[in-house]
Amino acid sequence: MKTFEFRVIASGLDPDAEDFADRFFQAGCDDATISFQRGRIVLDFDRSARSIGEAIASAMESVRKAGATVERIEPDPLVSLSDIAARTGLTRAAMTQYSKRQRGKNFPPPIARVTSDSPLWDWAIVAKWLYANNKLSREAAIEAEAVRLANTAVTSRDSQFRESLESSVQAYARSLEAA
Amino acid sequence: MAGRPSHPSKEIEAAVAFAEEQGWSWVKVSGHAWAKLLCPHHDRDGCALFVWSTPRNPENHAKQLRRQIARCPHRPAGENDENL
Repeated sequence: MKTFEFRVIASGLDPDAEDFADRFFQAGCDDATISFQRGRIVLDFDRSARSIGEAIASAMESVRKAGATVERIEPDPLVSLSDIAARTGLTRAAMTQYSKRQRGKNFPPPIARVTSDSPLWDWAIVAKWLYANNKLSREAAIEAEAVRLANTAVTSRDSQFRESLESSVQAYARSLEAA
Repeated sequence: MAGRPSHPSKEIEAAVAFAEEQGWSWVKVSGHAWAKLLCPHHDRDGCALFVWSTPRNPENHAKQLRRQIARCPHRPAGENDENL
């Protein structure tokens, strides 16, 4: 068993209600710290599980059992160059050079706000590139993909989510070896 | 700060004291939560943070509390170190 750190952003329960915290406690969120920030319920999890996929899927189940709606999983899959620098410990200057392709080979292009001054990258795609270039651990690359998949599943209402996330993450881990 | 009980976990008590130093206030609640902490921005936009009496792992809970306190966007101007 390993402990995985991530956040679940949720909605649908009133933080001023008498039973607000108890609902989460009884649903098994006693390994999370709950706050209400910017109008959202935020649960900081430190969840022990066999894999990141199982940790995230079981946490989402706990949050839903409490009666809340899962909105998003963080660390968010959409990242700026500053976010990438913060997550990897690489310098902001190095990230700029990678993105301008003055350094390294084929850094992935941004996927959102592409035409703006502050484009955003898909963390899972960037993490895979960083792993291939020995700048990031294999575990971190797998966690990035797991969080990306979980955020895709949040909107899809897949009832077999736990199994499908687990198998997708395993398939991804195998593909990393081949990369 | 006077008049509140101490949390039985040393680590959690230290995290709560840290919150109070940052201007957070302590509110009693009933049930499994030991208390609710309110950030310095005391209105509907402010942050609320729940402290458990018996979290699964007190050390992790204390660490999570500190992380959440550090993430509060209502600190005095100039202390926000995000997006440098």
